[in-house]
Amino acid sequence: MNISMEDIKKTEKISYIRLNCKERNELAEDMKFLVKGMERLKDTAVNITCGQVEAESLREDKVSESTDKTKILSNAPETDGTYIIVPKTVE
Amino acid sequence: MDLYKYSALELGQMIREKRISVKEVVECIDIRIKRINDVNGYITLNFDEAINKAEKIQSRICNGETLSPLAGVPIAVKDNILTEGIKTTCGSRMLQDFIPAYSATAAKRLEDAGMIILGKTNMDEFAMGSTGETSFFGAVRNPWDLKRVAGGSSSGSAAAVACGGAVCSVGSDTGGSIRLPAAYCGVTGVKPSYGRVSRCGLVAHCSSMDQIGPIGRDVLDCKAVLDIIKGSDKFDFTSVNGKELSGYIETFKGVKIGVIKEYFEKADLEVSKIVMEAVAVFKKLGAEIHEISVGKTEEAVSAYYILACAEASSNLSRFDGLKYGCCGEDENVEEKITNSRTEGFGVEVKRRIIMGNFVLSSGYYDDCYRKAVEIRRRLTEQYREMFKEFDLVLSPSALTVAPSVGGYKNKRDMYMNDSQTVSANLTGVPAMSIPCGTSKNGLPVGLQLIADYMNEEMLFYAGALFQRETDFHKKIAEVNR
Repeated sequence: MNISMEDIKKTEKISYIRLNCKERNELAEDMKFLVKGMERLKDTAVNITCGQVEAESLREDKVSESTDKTKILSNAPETDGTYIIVPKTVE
Repeated sequence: MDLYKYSALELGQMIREKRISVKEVVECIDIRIKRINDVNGYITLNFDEAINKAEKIQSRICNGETLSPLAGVPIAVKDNILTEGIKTTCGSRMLQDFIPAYSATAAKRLEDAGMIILGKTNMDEFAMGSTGETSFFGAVRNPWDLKRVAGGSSSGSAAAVACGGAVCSVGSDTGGSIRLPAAYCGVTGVKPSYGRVSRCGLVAHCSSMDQIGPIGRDVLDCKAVLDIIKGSDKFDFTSVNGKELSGYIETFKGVKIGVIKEYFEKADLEVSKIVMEAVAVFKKLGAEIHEISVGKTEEAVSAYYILACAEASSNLSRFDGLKYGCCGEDENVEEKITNSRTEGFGVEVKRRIIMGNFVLSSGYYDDCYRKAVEIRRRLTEQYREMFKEFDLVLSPSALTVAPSVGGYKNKRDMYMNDSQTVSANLTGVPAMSIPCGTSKNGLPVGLQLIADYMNEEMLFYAGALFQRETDFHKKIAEVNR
């Protein structure tokens, strides 16, 4: 399985992350190492229906008291006291 | 009185019998934390609030309220477990000023049981690392030799317990993050069955494998902490009550133990030898010992990293710096998010997010992700069959003793060091590391015990009997500069 620098750069973009050249080269080597373990299963049928834990009970879908808004807003970089202010996303 | 040298259960009893006060215990451990500062085990200390809580708990105990066997005992909490009003950083610049608006279910249950959160422990950034070196707040040092790593990712939780900076703690284990530091630091650490402890409020790394678990010097302390935090929670639909953790057995006669051949062969010779001596203790107690094979360990490590990175890439997509966390500068929203994430995350976290998005992308999903899921399914079946025959499985917890800080030549070697521990996470079974000896250069060696799904009881039986026969768990590191 080939992993090109272009593949990694493309993945950086969709991950909203930038790596420098050295980091990118090291990552390519490590990724080759990890996918090598998978290559031995090349012609094996894959049964993807695995799951271990069954939900014991699900929460009732009803309105209940939520987390204190002031506490949540206190972590935001910029607010107007009621809403979080974010950069404009729609022209 | 050096109260930090007592076990958590002993302190709980002394508090109940009013031989010591809760405040005295908190103050004693706070003094000890200041003396062991070089270990870098804590990110945030909660001393003032802890003293307030100590007074409140003391008055409830004096009024005859029965809270739990550990009421009044201080506990350290890994910094990826949300604690309302106490900074929770995940060892990352991204969350260096983040103060949660609510507590994790596990943290809340500890406080409801009268335990006192003394501080938040240092860890590999977002629990991604096996050495404790990826924290934005600096590497955690091994209390037995400050030039060596403490292991990760629950580095501070294990290191603090090893040197009396805490009597017990909670960490989280996704691929060995409780057991590995427990082994390197010479303490007991339990990764419960998947679902045993609610993940509500545990900052998600790999949701299908993450589990909160206890760390202590004594197996019985770990059981007491797990008794408090375990059980179904309406905020985590994967949490279950499971089989009860009941009493103890006096003998190991007739108990069938499997010893994993490959895990011993891969480990350092000295480590293998010490762990084999520990296996002999169980034989002496009457257990039947059989050698077993689990096949190649490399496949499990590859599958683990592919699945863990895939889930991490999705879980960590929420960190965009807009609503909370490290906020980069730019007018353009995409650039602003990219700057926030590039500046806020450390190198290892960035690498794993990219690896995760890569294995999930078109063209690689079938070759990587689906095959990793298949390996996991096969391993789960293999473990199910194995536990039809064996009550308990033993191995070294780590390949070596704690390596030097900066000792890994490349990341691949560090990833392979998880080969002893990842299978328990992939299959969801419980596992524990207990100290079982010391290397020639004075470093602790850990014995890993693995049991069937929801059979933590067997781990506690075995661990408690082993610790009745040995005293490795009683050693406390002095921390010499």
